[in-house]
Amino acid sequence: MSSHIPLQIELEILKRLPIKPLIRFILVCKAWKSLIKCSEFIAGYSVPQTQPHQHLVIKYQVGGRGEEVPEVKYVSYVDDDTSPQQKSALTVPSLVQGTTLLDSSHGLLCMLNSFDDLSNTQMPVLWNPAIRKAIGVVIPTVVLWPFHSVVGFGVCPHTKDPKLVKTVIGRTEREEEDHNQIMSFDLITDEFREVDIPERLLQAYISISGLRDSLVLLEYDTSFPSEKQVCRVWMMEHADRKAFRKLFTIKPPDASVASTLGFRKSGEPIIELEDDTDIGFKSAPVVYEPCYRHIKDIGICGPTHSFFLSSYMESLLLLDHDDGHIVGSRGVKCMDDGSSVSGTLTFRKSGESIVEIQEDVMDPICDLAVYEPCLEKIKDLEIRGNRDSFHGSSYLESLLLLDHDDGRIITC
Amino acid sequence: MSKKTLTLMSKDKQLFNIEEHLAVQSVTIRNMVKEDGASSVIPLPRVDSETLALVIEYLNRQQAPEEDEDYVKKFVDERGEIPTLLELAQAALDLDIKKLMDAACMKVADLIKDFTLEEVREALRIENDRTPEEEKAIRDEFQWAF
Repeated sequence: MSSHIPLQIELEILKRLPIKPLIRFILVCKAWKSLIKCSEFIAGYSVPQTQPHQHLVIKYQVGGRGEEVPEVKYVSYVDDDTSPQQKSALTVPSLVQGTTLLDSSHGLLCMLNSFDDLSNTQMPVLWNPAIRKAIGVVIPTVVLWPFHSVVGFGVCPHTKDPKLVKTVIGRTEREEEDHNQIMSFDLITDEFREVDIPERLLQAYISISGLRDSLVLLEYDTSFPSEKQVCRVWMMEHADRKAFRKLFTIKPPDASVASTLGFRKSGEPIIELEDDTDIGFKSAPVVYEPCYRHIKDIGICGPTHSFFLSSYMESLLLLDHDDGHIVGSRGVKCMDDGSSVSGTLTFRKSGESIVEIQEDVMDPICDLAVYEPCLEKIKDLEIRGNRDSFHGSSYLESLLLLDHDDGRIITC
Repeated sequence: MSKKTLTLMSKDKQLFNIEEHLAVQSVTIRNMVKEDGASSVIPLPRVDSETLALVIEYLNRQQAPEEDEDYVKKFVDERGEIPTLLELAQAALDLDIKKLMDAACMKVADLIKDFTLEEVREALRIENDRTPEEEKAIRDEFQWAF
């Protein structure tokens, strides 16, 4: 028997394996476990080009007519050169239930739950369907009317750090000046930037989408002679950020476009058609072929506007996290038992801090505790109250004010 | 201009001649040639003669650049034995011939992807150092993959 294979060759082989065998091979030996679960390997891994690597995920509902509670399903298609028929149902982790699909980036789907008024928090869920893991991220929400907030998601292409961006927007007083506005956020430099929208689209009914790394504007229009809704697709030209070029108009024969869900890698849009005979209840996403105006069914149907679509590439992100784990965003630190430090009041002389501990991120009741930062230990102070209602300070005893009457009011 | 020839020596002291302009596809050899002209024999103490013969065959290929990708793939496909491919990958890594290393590792990955854990350990001569408890923890975490 000859000598062992060098680690470097093993690493080169592992890099070229599809995800499923890679996960199985964690069990080959201790060295392989360390190699595969190392954060650099996780960040650098991309599915070999020989494997199906581009996917479309669609969220949809079945049932729900009348009293029936609709069932939410996720289905994933391989997005290659063939028609998207090769589909597989995704196993939905418990954290993902009851959320809507916001966006995807580097193999992670970002899911949003509805805003919880009571605790003033929101917990987006990051889900990697390829390795079946999901984690929750608590983001504090201290936004009240007349402001509203928008959450965006992306993975930094360099560091592979997932980033959630919450933008708080104030409403303008002068409603007549309202027009479409698009802000972009650079995941590398963390900078915001306003995207210039062509004049004719400022007042149009638009939504945004993405096609091959470019921003796409979808302009919906019912003023078309046939009174059927059509959708014009505008793509941002990379060379000049000001220019949007009209790619084509989605104008299926004898049908209205309810919405454009997204695009295949090939550029073909996947659209929802309005069913004239059963308006608002049933619709089926189809692939639209813009040159010949052909439509192709993809084998699912559900209530109109209940579909969400995103394309994603398989990745290993979250492999080093436990499924179902809830993490705090900056300023919110989670303890081992699932409780989280929601705020720091003050510090003890020893350097330990006095913190608010929240048992359940959705429950506004907090306990006060001493937090020992090195060992990450907490000691309960047996005081309980509403979150953010605590204030603390340290003081030394002194004789100051001894020469003043209690309750006296001094004017200056 | 006459074509300069280099002599490479394998681990088991066999000598192989190759034209210099072909040999310098290996970044390692290119650097040696640049440094001291490499007029004498270049020793490759980690590469056996069978593997070196394969490397020489690869370097001597007469392929149009656009067909090169297909050629490398076919080249490793025809030598589909894992031990041979591992030796080849090792030699390509030492000699810094990226395309050959990529193709050899890709082929190995392709061959082992459906192997059982025991088959992988056997093929790559890896010792199982996992405890049953660790094994159970991983199997529980990734039930779907097993």
